[in-house]
Amino acid sequence: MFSKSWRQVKSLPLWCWPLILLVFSFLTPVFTVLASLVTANEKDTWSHLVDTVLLEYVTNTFYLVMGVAVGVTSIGITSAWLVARCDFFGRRFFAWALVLPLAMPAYIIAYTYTGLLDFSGPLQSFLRDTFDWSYGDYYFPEIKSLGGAICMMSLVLYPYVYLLARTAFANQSASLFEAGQLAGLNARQRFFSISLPLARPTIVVGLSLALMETLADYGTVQYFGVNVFSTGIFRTWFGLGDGLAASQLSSLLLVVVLFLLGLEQFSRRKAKYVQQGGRVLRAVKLSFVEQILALLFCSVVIMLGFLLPFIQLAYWTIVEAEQVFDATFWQLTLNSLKLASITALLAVMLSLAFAYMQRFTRPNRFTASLVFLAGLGYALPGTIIAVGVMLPFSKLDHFIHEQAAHFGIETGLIFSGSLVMLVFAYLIRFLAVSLGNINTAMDNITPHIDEAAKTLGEKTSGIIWRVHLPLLKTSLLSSGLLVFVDTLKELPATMALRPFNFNTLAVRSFELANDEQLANAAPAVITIVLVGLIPVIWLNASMHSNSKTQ
Amino acid sequence: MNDSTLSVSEVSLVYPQSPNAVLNQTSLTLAQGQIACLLGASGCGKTSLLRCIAGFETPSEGSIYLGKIQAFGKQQVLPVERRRIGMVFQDYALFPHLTVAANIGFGLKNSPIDYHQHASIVHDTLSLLGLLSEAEKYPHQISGGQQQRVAIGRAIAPKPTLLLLDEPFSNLDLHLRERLAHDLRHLLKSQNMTALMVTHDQQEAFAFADKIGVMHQGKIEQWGSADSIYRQPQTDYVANFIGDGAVLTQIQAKSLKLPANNAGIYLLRPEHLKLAEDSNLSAKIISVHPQGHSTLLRGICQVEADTPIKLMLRCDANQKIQVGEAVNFSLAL
Repeated sequence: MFSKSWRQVKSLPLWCWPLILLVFSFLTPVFTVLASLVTANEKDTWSHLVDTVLLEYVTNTFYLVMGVAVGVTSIGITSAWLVARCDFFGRRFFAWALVLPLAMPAYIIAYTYTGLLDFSGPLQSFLRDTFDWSYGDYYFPEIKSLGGAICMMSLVLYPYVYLLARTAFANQSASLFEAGQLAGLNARQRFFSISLPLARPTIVVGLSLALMETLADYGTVQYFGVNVFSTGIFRTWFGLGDGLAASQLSSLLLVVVLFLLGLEQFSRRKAKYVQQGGRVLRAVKLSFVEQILALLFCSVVIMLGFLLPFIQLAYWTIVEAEQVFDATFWQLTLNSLKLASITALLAVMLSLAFAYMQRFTRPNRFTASLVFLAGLGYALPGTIIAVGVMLPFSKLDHFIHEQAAHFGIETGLIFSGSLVMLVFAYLIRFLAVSLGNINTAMDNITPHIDEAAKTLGEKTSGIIWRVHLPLLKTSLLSSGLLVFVDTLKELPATMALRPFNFNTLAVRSFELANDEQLANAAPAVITIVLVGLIPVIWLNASMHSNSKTQ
Repeated sequence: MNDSTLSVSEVSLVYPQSPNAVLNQTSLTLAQGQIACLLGASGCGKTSLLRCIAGFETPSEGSIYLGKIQAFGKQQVLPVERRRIGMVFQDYALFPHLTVAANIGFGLKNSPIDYHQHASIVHDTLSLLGLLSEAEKYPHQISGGQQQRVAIGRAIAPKPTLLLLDEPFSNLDLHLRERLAHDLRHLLKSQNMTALMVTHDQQEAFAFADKIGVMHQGKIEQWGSADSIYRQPQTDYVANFIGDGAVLTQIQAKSLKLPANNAGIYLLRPEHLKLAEDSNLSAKIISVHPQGHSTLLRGICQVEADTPIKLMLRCDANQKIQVGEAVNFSLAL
């Protein structure tokens, strides 16, 4: 068994080795963070944390995750069911529009809702003017709270559940329901005893993804002043200046993340068993009242998750922002675009290399598991990656500095505080996006296609050029775009790892929002949202054309 | 070495993970213009042999010659792309991003054919296969039968020395296969193409090939014309695998006065028997299989021999025979 795997490793061509090293370097954050658990901390930060805030981090994170879980599953499943299985006015439009909140990062709708709902915002002002109330006369829920954070994240993360559940519901075989009908189950019983259990593994996949995003969030909870792990890690690191304690805190968060990752992978495998084709049931025509309710539900979800914040942002940008497109804005945009393009380009190239490593060495368990490992970073919150990248890189820098000093060369810090480190962190987190996409496209090119090209006299390079690249073109483009947008939106890792005085749209808007200059943050924010809309609309369009061809 | 277009001699193929050889010192030769077929049950090694000839698998021993060029031997392994072999895959493996015409022209770029002739070759191939009106369509826009013709056109356009076909009809409707096999034979003969097809379907093989090789456990059990493998099977396996009927022991055959074939096999086919009221041979019917044009009967005949003989015979569709009934029959050789 062992000797067999060793043989597989030894037989790998030379060009695979840099990729193998790269995968191991991608795992450094995890190792760093785990290693901190067994490293003695000379400072007493840790015991200070335990005495004061640790319990709060744990309970708040727990409530946040639970709350978002309830939020995204209830919105996601309901909307997916309505769109997939019920026929009502506007169904086609909603099937499309329900994905839009995916373009809104949670921290962005957190700003806009704060602007809308806080004391000086339009809603409370309107209430005060109308009813002639003044401060303290009335109860109004505080948006900047744990509950508020749960709402914000549920509103933009439910599409993960919605998208997967919709496909699961839409593809369920009609014969199952007919068997249920023959067995005397009514519509409600058929939903709870056939549809839901069959879709459950798929729904759990979506839920795990949404919860990973919840744990990765930094902007919303920081802005709302909710103390959870991600904010705690930042405070320990930059506030208390103890990188090791921050890393130790990260390792606790990592445990939760790994649990979610395991749950996701397990459910994915399970979802494959219940996948079925065949004839599907026609959507049920809803009664007039039911149609109104369905319409209302979907409209409210899209309104709250996308339209309202978007209108608010547009209003701020056009009417209230003091400077909209000034030199700073263009500089920020340029910085963001530069970072996002470099990351996207590298991610696509690496993904292609990994996909070829798997294709050309198949069947080889070693490379297959390497590619699997390379794509696991999406589960890691940006904070953990930041901590886990910063510590080893600064050690490396100090090492290089000392060695160079022996020769009288002043190197300074090479990696830490450079764009290299930041892009490296992005790649760890977002490689999965392009890797999954490109690998699927590569797997869709059957080995017979390569063999056919070979019998027609084509060499490997010719096969790549004349057959593979044209076939992969769309997925290379779309996966590059997805990484581009994710990089643009990323906040915690960018904040922690960016070079001194280097600002991006996401970071600058976060700073402005924290200074209560919401309107001035709007131009940067709306740029992020608009760019983020491109892949969402594309995704929608391609899913639509897929369902047409099938 | 010799004048044949394809010559495979004593080729063996062993996979490291499995103890049994997939191919066991298999040999065959094909002359220019000959059309042959490897016939066998799944797992007999027929596709592996085809893939060895194409170059996708590397045999553990033996040699393969394509004309005078050694494609595989102790000293040399010619890469697939330099073997000048055309191949039609079971799933066709058409390039989905290319039009029908571009698919057919794909291999011309790497062939020795002069660049100026490419367009006319594509056109001729399209017209030969009746695909002119589909030239600018993409593979997913045409029917399964048309896709199959594109796959054939793509394989023959660069004028390969040998055409290999891996179960090319298996994705098509059952009732079409035999006719298509016949049409394809006609087409390949008109181009004087040497071809080797793999199939598990006897009717297809009979309609397609000059020579049929029946494969079993990595070996070609018999190599001959359709008629000879049907009438003169050389081994028990071939006798049982091809056509209906039963192979009898010598004692059983003696009791029915059935002569052996030239390989010493006592083969009793349904057409060797007919119902005859006045015969002293009788069989008890154990099952009745109406087939429209006639009815196939399975019966057991107990003669002086110690073991009962299981046999098949045919009767007219309008003869109503019940299970359990005893019928009289006679030999009609």
